[in-house]
Amino acid sequence: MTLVLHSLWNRRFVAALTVFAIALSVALILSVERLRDSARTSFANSASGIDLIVAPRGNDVQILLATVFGVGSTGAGMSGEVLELLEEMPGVAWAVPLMQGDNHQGFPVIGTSAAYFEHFKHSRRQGLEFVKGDAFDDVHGAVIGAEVADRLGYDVGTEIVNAHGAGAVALEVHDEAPFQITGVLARNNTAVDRMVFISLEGFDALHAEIAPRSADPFDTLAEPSHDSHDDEHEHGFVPDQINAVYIGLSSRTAVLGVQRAVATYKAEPLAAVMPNVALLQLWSITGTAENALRLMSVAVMAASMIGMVVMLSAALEARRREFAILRSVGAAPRDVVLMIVTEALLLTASGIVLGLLIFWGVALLAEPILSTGFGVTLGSKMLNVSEVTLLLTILCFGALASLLPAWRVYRMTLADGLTTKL
Amino acid sequence: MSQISVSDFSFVWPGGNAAVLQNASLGVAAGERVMLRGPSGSGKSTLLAAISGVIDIPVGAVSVAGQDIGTLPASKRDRFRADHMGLIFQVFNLVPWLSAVDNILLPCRFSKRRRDRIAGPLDKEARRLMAALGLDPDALGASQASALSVGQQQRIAAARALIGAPEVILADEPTSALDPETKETFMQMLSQQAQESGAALLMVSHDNGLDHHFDRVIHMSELPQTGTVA
Repeated sequence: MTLVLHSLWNRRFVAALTVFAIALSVALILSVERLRDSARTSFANSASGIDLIVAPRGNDVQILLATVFGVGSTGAGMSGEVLELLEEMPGVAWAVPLMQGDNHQGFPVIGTSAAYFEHFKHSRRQGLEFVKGDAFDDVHGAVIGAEVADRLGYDVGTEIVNAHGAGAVALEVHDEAPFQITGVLARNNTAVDRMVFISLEGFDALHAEIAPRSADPFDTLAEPSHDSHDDEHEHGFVPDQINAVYIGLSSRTAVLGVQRAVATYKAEPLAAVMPNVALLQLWSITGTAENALRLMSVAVMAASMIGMVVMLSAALEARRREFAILRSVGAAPRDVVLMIVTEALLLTASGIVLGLLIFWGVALLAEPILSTGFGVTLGSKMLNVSEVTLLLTILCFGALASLLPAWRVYRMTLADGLTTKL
Repeated sequence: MSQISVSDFSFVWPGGNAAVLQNASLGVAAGERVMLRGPSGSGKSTLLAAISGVIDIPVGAVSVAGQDIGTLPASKRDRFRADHMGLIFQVFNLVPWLSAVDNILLPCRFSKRRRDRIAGPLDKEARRLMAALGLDPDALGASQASALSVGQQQRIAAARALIGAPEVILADEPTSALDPETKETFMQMLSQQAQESGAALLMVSHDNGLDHHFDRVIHMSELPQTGTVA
């Protein structure tokens, strides 16, 4: 053992490089695993609490993307009456309407009711929380996600204007209708962090004003409130058009009934999407990328293992003399083989330890960037069982890989005997 | 009692057709110093390989310290070599990245018997041998083997062969890389130490000038005639 250490120390430069290569790949594999886990959890959590999403008929995944993730749109809108209909449907506990199509500096703007903040649930049925302020209670109020607040430096009281369209480029700015921020939501690492919420009335007003603006912009300033919807229902404002409705059921068994009722709705083609099912579909797409990533890190691991085998094998030729001397003082070929395997284990083990350190270091440094930028976390927490298994597997592979040079050295020592043919 | 006894030993290398050794017989008693001389290809190295147990040999041909080498399996032969033999080669005797003392103590890593035969700390014994072979243990003991001169390296190799007092010391042209004066002192110290420890010293060399250090000088061509020495 001390012989192995001495011998490795004698080749410390190459040995250090090898350890470093293994360390990097260990760190990479761990990071990929953590990111994968985190991405999947954050993904799967993004729509918990919602039992159904009702939207104009379309692709389930598209509806999910548009509503929960704020990516793209549901296409055509549906009549606001659907909301009332759904609210009165048996089995429906609550219904939250969504209006979409605007953005604020690239962040999707959602028109909804204050009930959204009450019912939307993410990871493990956690609800939304306000770090500052409260939900909007009038037409001009707005609530922003944590990332919006961080990126744009907004706070309660800031006035914002929205742009039409879902892209980052403001095609048409609704600067005639500013909103005042009434609340900032706590970060939860879902798409909500990137959303701006305003009331249905506010959203509708925005669009109601587009037409008159071109005729006489001062009109709208003089009369900023909506004029076409004075016939408000007793349970709240109902706009002409909405994009989707989140539905919570009073009992799980009502799902099929509600789904059927929505699907057979005569006035418009509608669909009721179960977010969990759609999420699974979506995950099967991203899962491919995930596997590719995983494959890559395994390939990197394999490359570093090969690097170690190369290092051990390359050194064999130069160490023939060393082995012959060891044999002459009584080392059996088996002892020499054991030396090689021990070296490999030592290299792999130190690679793993260094890799862990690198991983934790990176996790610590990258944590803020990752969680704000992508809503995923590496987590500097201790290793879980599967990660320990992974590391042990790597160690075993290190030992296995060393069998190749070990076998060569065995043959070599047998052939050389004690005479060093140099 | 004969520490090395070779009787009627013939050997053909695997794949070879001519016998390297034909009916060779040789005996070396405890404390005896024997020089074996012969041209290249006369089978000197083969004989040393057979005695040190590196090659497979028939039963009953070679015995060392009363043990028939031919009956031992390969792994036992390695152990046996560590326990009972000290070897010195022409050059490259030392592990370059170990210190002089660590090189001397190498056999003790593999042989409990050699370890146990040393009274007192191993380190002290290594230094004693260094001093006995004319090396300053304080100056050179900790230095890396690769930093030593060839003459110093050979003495370290001799110290390693001697440590733990093995019954047999085999030397394969240990002086061929040394200059005449170093040669003389090296041989003197080696044979003296071998005699002190009571080991049988069998040395192979081309060098005529060293004969006076040995009790007997045998030419390879005489082996078939020497017969078994009791």
